[in-house]
Amino acid sequence: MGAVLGLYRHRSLIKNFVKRDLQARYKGSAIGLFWSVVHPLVMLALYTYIFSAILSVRVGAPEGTGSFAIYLFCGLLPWNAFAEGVSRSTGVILEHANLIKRTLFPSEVLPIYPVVSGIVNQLIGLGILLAVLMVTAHPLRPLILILPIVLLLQFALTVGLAWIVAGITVFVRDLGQLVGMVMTIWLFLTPIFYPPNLIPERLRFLLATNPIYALVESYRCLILKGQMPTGDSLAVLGFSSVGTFLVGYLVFTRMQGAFADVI
Amino acid sequence: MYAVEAENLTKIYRIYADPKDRLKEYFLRGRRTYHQEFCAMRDVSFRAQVGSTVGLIGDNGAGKSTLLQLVAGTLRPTSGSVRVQGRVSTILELGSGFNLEFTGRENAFMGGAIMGIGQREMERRFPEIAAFAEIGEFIDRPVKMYSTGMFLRLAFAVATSVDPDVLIIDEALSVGDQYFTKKCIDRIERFRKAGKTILFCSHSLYQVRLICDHAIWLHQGQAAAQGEAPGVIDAYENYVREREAQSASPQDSPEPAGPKPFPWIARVTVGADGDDHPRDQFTMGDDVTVKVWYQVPKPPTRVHVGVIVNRNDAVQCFGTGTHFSRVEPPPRSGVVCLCLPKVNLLSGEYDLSVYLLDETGLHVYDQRLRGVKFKVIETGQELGVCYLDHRWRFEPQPHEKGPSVTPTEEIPLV
Repeated sequence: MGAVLGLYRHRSLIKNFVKRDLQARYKGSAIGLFWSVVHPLVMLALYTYIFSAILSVRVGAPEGTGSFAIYLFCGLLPWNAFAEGVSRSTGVILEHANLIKRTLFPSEVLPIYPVVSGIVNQLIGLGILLAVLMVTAHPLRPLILILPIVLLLQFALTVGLAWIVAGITVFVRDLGQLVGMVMTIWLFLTPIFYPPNLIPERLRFLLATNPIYALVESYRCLILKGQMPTGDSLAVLGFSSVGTFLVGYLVFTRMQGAFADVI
Repeated sequence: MYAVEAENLTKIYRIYADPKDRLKEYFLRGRRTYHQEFCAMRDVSFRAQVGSTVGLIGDNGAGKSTLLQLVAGTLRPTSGSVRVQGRVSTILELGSGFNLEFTGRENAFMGGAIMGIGQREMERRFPEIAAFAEIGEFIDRPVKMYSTGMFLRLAFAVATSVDPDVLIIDEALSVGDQYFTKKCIDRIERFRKAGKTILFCSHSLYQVRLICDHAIWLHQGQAAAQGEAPGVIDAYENYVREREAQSASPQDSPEPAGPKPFPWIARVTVGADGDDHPRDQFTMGDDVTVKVWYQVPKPPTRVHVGVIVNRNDAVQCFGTGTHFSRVEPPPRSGVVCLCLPKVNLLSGEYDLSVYLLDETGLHVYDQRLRGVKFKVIETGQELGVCYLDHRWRFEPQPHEKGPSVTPTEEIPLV
C-alpha cells in the first residue's frame, strides 16, 4: 500500500522523467517523436514480408488471425515493453548517481520511468495494431476494454522486477550482463515466435509458471480472439504481478539507503 | 528549539579490494570479512538552533561534506541519529541534476520536480528563478550552450527557490566569479534574516566568520572544536599556521643547556603588568610584561636582552632589544622586564623568542627560541596580526556634486 501511495505522491516527478526520457531519445532529430510511430510500422511490415511472403508461415484459426505477422506483433508488444523496462533498470541508478549522492531524492522513482517509457511505446504499437486490424476488417470485441487492467498488471510486474534488478545491480554490477542473457532466453522460452501448441506435452509445465506467457496470451485473447483470457492465466498474471511488485518494493527500499555509499 | 540535532554521528565505509569480495562476504554471512573499514566520521554531535547559521571548517577530507550529506539525508549514518525539522534544501553540488541537452526552463522544472515542487507551483516561482539567473533568452536554449556563470546562477536559483527551512550548502560559493558569489551571499543573507537555518561549509574562513554564528571544526572525521564561530575559527587558524610553520622549519637547533661559562638565560615569563604570576592568556589591550632572568657567571659582563614576539606561524610581530632602546642592563645576574602596555595583537597564539646578547648586540650568548607561549583573545572581527588604530570617514566623489563638473573646467583651479 505504501508503495502505491509513494508512487502517487511522486507522480509529477515520474511524469517529468518519462517526458524527458522520451524527448531525450529523439532530441536533436528532425521528426522527433514521429520515429516512435515509424519504428513499429516498419517492424510490422518487415514481419509480414518475411513470415508471410517469404517463409509462408501461417498460424491456425484458433489463434484468431491467419497472419503470423499480426500474431507475432501482438505478442511482441507487451514483451518489448517488459524487456525494455527490466533491461534498462540495470543502469538507471548508476546513471543518476549525481542525484542520489547530491540531492534528497526518492530513488525508488528511477526504475519506474524506463518501464513507463516502454509502455508508452507499447501503446503506440498497440494503436498501430488496432488500426491495422480495423483496416483488415478484423472483428474487435468490447472485451478489449479489459486491456487497461492487463496493462496495469503488466506495469506492476515490470516495475517489481525492475526494482529488484536496479537495486542489486548497484552492488553486483555483473547482473547487468546476466539480465541481458536471461531476457533473451526468456523471450525464446515464451511462445511469442511460435504458438504454444507446438510445445511438447512434457514441457508444458514451463508455461504454467511463466507470467509473461500469461501476459502475452491475455493480449492475444482480448485483441485477436476476442475472448476472455483463461482463469488460469489471469490468476498466474495477477498473483505474480502483485507479488513481484510488493517484493520488489521491499527489496528496493531495504537497499536504497546504501546506494550513496557504493556508487 | 533546534532545527538540526545530530547525535553521535558515525559513518564507516566498507572498502573492498575487489568487487568479488562483496559477494563472497555476503554469501559467507559474516564468517569471514573481506573489507577494510574506513571511518569518515566518528562520533560527531551538534545542534543548530532555528535561525542560526552553522559553518563547517576543516582541511580537505576532514569530513565536512560527509557531515552535510548525513544531515541532508543523502548518506545514512552507520550509527547515531540526525533529526531535522522542516523542509531541507541541499546545494551539495550545483546543477548536478541538470541534463545538458535540455533547455534552462526544462531543467528548472525538472529540478523543481526532483525537490518535490509540482508543475503549477514551479510556474509561479519561475519568473523569480529566471530573474536571479539573468540569462535572458538563453532560458529556452540547451544548457550545454551556457557559460559557466549562467549555469551556476541558474542552478543556484533553482536550488534556493524551494523556500527551505533548512538550507545546506557545500562549497557552492567557491565556484564561480565574484559577481556570482556576491549574488549568492546576498540571497543567503536574505534567508538568514528570514530566520532560516543554514548549514554552510566553506574553505573561506572569511566567509564563515562573516556569515556564521556557530562553527564546527572537523579534523579527521571528528569535531576538533565547536561553538561560537570566532573562537572555533581562531583555533583552526592557529592549527593551520602551526602546521605550516612546522613544515617550513622542521626543527630549530636544540637549545644548549646551562650552566655555561658565558652568560645565559635562566628563565622567561610573561604576565600582566604589576602581577608576578605568569599568565598565558590575555585580552587585546592588556598590559603585558615579559620578564627575563639571566645569569652572568663572570661579572661584570655587559649584556643586552632582545625579545621577539612571534605569532605561531612564525610571523615576527614585533622585536626589540635593550640595545635598540639604548638602555643598559646591569652587568651582573639580574632580571629585565619588558613592559608592553596595551598590547594590540589580534586574537591568536603567540610566543616569545628571547636572546641574550653581548655588548655589541651582534653575538648571541644564549637564546630561548619560541619558548614561552601565550594567547590573545579579542572580541572584534578584525583580521590580521595587530590592531591598527583607525576610523572611517565618507567623502562624496567630486563629480557626484553635480553633472556639470568636468575635468576641463577644473583646469583653471590648478
